Formats: sequence, structure tokens, C-alpha cells
Amino acid sequence: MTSKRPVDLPVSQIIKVNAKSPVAMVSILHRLSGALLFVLVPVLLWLLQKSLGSPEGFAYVSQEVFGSIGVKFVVWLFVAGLLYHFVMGVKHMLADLGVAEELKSGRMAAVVSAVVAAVLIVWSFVWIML
Amino acid sequence: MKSAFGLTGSGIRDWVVQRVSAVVLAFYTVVLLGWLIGHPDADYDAWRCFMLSTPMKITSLLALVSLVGHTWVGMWTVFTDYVTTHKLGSAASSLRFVLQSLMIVALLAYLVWGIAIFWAN
Repeated sequence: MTSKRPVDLPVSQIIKVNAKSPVAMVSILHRLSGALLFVLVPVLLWLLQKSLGSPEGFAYVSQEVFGSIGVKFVVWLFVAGLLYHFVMGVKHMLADLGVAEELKSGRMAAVVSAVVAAVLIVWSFVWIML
Repeated sequence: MKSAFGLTGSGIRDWVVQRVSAVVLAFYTVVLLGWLIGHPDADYDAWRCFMLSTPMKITSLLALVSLVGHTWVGMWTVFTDYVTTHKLGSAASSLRFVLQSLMIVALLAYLVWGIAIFWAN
């Protein structure tokens, strides 16, 4: 049977519909944060290698890298993405266990997770950038 | 038809890999962030002693392997959902082939790099 379901919705309509749903929003951001982490892993590996390699490397990372705003901001982006992905991952695995997987409870879980993630992201900004 | 680029060739196995690796990565995140928060003024010796202790070398290797499995399944999901002929036309299959290949090569490079950092010192 051929489905008549529309599959070529314009992006604007997709965004319009999904922006109303906290469940959809936290879900797409879960994917986006994951992709961001994948791309930024080399920066973290580089910092790890530098800081563990020699006392000079450690001094470079702690003074130069964390003394200027550029790479430090990238590190914060990574940590923010990680915290978000972490919180949504916990929500996801709780849903796997049957916790908050119905429509109403799922919406509530999405909102609560988003708030928790936002608090952690603000905290990480204060911790790393200030 | 089986997906040529899936990690295990089985949806349920990919599902399990994604969850087990998620728990390992979550544990590693808590341990690392916890140490960093608890030691704001750590010097080189303290940092090195902690990260290159045997438990952390083993945990880090587990986290690296988990990172490969977790990201493989996750990025495969993203690519197969969005880089499709339906959305992008006939070039999508070739583009997805290239993206998936690059993704897997990058992950293996992360793994080797990580092993060099933790086990070659």
C-alpha cells in the first residue's frame, strides 16, 4: 500500500510544528549536541595530550589556553554540549525503563530535563569562562 | 536489507551498544568533572598522577572504546535520517557513503590517539 502521508513538508512548517513541542525540541537538540561533541573531541584530546605530556605543556594549557578566551570558549561549548547530552541521555534511559514515557509525563520530563540542563550549562559557563 | 554502515548489523545490538556505552561515558564524565571540580588548583604532578593511575588508564580506555561505539551508532542514525535521497536527491547515497566513511575513520583515529595519550606515556 502506498502511503499518502506528506513527506516533503517545507522546513518552515516542520520547525513551526515542532517548536510547539518540548519533546521534539529536546530531542533534536540531543542529536545536535551529540554531533557537536563528535566534532569537538579532537580539541579535548589535544588538550589532554598537551597537559599530560610535559610540565611545559601543562603550563601552556593552564595559562595560555585557559588564559585567553578563544579555546576556552570551545572547551565550554564542549562541556555545555556534554552536560546537555548527559541529562537527555538519562531521560532517554529512564524512558527505556518505562519512566515518563506517556504523552503528558513525557512532556513534563522534557521540560524538567531542559531546565536541569539549562542550570548546568549556566553553571559551566561561570565555572569555565569567568 | 542490512545497513552496510551500522555498527553491529543488528538494530537490537546497536541499541544495546548505545546504552551500555552511554553508561560508561556517563560514569567517566562524572569521575572527570568531579575530580576537576574538587581540584581547582591541581598542578602537573597531581593531574598526571590521577589521569595516568592504573584505574584511570583502564577507565579512559573503556571510555574511548565506548565513545567509538556510541558515536558510530548515533551518527549513523543522524546520517540515515537526514542524508537521504528523499531529502537531498540522488547524490545523497554517495554523500552518505562519504560521510559515514569519514565518521568511522575519524572515530578510529580518536581511539588510536587516545590510546597513545594514556598508554604510551
